[in-house]
Amino acid sequence: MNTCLDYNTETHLVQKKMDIDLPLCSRPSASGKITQRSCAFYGARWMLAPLEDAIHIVHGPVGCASYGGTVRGRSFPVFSTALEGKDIVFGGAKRLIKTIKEARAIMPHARYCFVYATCSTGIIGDDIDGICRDMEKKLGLSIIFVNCPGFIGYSQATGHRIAYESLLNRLIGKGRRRAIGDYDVNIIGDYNINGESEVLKALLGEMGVRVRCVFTGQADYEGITNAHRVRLNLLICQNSGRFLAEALQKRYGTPYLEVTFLGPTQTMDSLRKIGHFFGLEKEAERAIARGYRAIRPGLDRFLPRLKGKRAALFFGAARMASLIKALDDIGMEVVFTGSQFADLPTYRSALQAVSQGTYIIDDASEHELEHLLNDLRPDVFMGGIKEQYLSHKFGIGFCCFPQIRRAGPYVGFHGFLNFARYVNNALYAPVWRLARQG
Amino acid sequence: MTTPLKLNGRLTIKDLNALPEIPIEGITYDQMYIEKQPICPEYIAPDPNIIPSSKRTVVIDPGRICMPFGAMWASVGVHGCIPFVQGAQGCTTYPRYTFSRIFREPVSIATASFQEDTAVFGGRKNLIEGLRNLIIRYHPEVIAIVTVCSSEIIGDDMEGYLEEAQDALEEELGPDVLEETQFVIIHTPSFEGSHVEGYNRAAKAFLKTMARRTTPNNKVNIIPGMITPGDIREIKHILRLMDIEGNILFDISGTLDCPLRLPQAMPYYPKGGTKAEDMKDMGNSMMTFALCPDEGGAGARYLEKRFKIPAAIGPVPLGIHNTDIFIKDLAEATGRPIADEIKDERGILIDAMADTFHYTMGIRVAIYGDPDIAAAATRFCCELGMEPVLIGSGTESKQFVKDVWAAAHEYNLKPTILNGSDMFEWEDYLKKDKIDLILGNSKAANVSKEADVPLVRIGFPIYDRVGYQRRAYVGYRGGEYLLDLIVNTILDSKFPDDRVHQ
Repeated sequence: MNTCLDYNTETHLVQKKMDIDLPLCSRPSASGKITQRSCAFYGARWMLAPLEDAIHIVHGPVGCASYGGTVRGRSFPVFSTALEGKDIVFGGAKRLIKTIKEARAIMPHARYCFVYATCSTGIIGDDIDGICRDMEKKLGLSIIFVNCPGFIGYSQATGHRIAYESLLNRLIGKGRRRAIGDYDVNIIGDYNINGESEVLKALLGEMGVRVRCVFTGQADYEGITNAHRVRLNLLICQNSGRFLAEALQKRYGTPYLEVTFLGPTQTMDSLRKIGHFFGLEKEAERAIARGYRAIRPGLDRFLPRLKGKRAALFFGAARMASLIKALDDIGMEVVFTGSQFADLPTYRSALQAVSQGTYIIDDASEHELEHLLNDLRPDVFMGGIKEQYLSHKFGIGFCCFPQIRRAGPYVGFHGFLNFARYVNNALYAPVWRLARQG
Repeated sequence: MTTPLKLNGRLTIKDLNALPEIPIEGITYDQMYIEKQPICPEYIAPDPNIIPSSKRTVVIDPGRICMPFGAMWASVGVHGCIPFVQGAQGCTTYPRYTFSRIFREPVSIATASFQEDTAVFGGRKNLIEGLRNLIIRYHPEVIAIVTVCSSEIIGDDMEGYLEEAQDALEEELGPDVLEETQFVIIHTPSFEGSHVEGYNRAAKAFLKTMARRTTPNNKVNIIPGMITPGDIREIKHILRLMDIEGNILFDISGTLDCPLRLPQAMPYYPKGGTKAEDMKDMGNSMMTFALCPDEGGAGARYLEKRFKIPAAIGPVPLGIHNTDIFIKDLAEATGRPIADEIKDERGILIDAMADTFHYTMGIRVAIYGDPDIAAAATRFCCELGMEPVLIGSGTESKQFVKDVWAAAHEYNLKPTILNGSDMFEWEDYLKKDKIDLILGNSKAANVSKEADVPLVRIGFPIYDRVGYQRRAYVGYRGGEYLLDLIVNTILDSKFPDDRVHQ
């Protein structure tokens, strides 16, 4: 196993044994590594792109805007200052000012505007913050500087945090007075992948809980600026959202609950937790009973086929522990799990969820993933699109997570059925049998 | 005028009966008016003064990617080559993601992993350590060192650092390591051009580093440009029919479209790609063909200047006229007769055009893409009797304008040309005009849906449909495929199903 592990960070791969050991994480990648990580700009775009009522200006050469236009499998309109050689030499300030004015003229209905820094503008040192404040006064529009040049931090997690910080410091709390319903909540850390936010809203709606804003899957100016006027925050992605949930608690006294809706066990737990908080225990039980009854026949069909199969995970960070528990609901075993940028609490909860002998790896390179796949031979591998085709080359079925192609949302009761069906497809696609016959 | 028809099969039988009359000879073109629909209810038409991209600084939905991407595309086409990107992690991950989306293949690209301290102290340490890490794990035959915005602005002295790195490698791993691994430095600051220029620079950098003159051979050099793996296979097919040996630079047909065969060897390396010795041999060839003038033209010009190898630069052999030029040049350069099979292939394409011109004549078409492909597609559309009315290129190029005007002049057309424009401007022109068909990449998909104009996908990038990367558009057989695509799309959208049965 150790053949592949001679980067300086040897202990970024651990095996769960009797003694509890966590992988080294939150460290920069070694250079020369074929890393799966991305940059702070990527993280910030991932967070803020779905705010479609805002203007998004990428201050830098055109490439970053080109890439940053596609987030979570969708394309979003994006403005760029498209810096050229002379701007790099003489500074891009003038261009940025003109761009903001023009963008405003093109999208006059926008209420706020994000200006992203990139590597180039980070290094040439344009005073973007000053320009933003200046233009904000002139144009009467909130212009928010997102300081996310690509070289900041060690991965996109930095970008997630910067994005949440900019929302927290510049927008949250600005909203006009709005009546707070008794059962109003925000969801933090759900990114509306394949309509997951809608599913969550419907599920909570069944109990009588109203979702005001989903960070950042379904958020708009109203929702964000009034984010402090709720009774409770539901924290779904612990890695990226914990910062915002804690800040809201500290600043506005809104409590938060860590919940997750992957797999029936956790969905039930979460619904009960929320029911308990609001005193809606009966409604919660009713929603659980109805939801679970609806998927029983489907589960009876899929689960026996999946039981005992071995899965491997490597993805962002988002819900590592909760995905492991959802797989446990299916009856699948996890042979290795890893993430690009998870922090220690995420790894700790993942470690508790996995069984003995499971490998946990932080920031695996492509080389290490190849070795892990080849040596451990899982039946199915779950990760992002970059790993998908590598896995296929080794004849291992693949599930895209969390960005799902051609599969419904995974959350909630029906989502679990979708998930089971999706895993089943990856496992039993005839192509793997045919490939082995060749 | 009768009520405008809503097309795309949205008519029901009831609607059809309700219409006053359906002309017996078919639906005339002026009835195929397409209602323009705004993006969202609160859509406010932008100020006409800021629509032309030349009058504004902001670029909206750019139709071009950054320069390092072009260089990475080129390097991936080299056998056993791993690009090493001297920049932050995003500069590798975004391109890898883009490659995966388009080609559905794993692509290995290493990063120098810039951090805050690198932005202050420069990337010397990253390069030296990074090359060592990469060589120890992957033993690549070639490492293409690609710079990005950040390292160019910091002013990393790549040549100097590389020498240091090589000394350190030699000391640690022995002198053999420098024989096994070759290094190519490609300078690609993204603020000076787009992916088109990146590919161009990569072609020159690779040839400058690798090509040598020894004994003349009877081969031709092909620099394909950013065309699909299927296109490259078609070029090889043409060479085979003509019985000509060719050195193809950046042959992505074996690296970005690979078979799945088990068991897989470790570490995963695609089998194909241009071998280092073939690149070395490119200094001995009889002639260089750069199929895309803006993507790879610099490489051909370098060989012409350095080794006196005549260069034929462009046009992309797409459509009848352009392919004729390519085949004729090939025959003249090598002294071989044009193979009978090729004449047959041409005849089949001509036959297909004769069978379908009733559908294509007079169709007003808008084109968007990289300059070389867009120019070639324009000419092909003209050959089909279509009227290209709006042609946009994401990257600015003089050759593009020249080629498009030449085609337009020949066919008596006056198209609008947007050189180095963005999707926003192109979309605006498109919506103001009556367009029947779009030829463009996946970035035009949203516009096509919104304006209810059907789209034929061509060029780079295509990520929302499968299989396009395996198809050829070049050569006569590629022309057949493109023709079929165009005609079938017209049939799908412009004619009710019951009118195409004969």
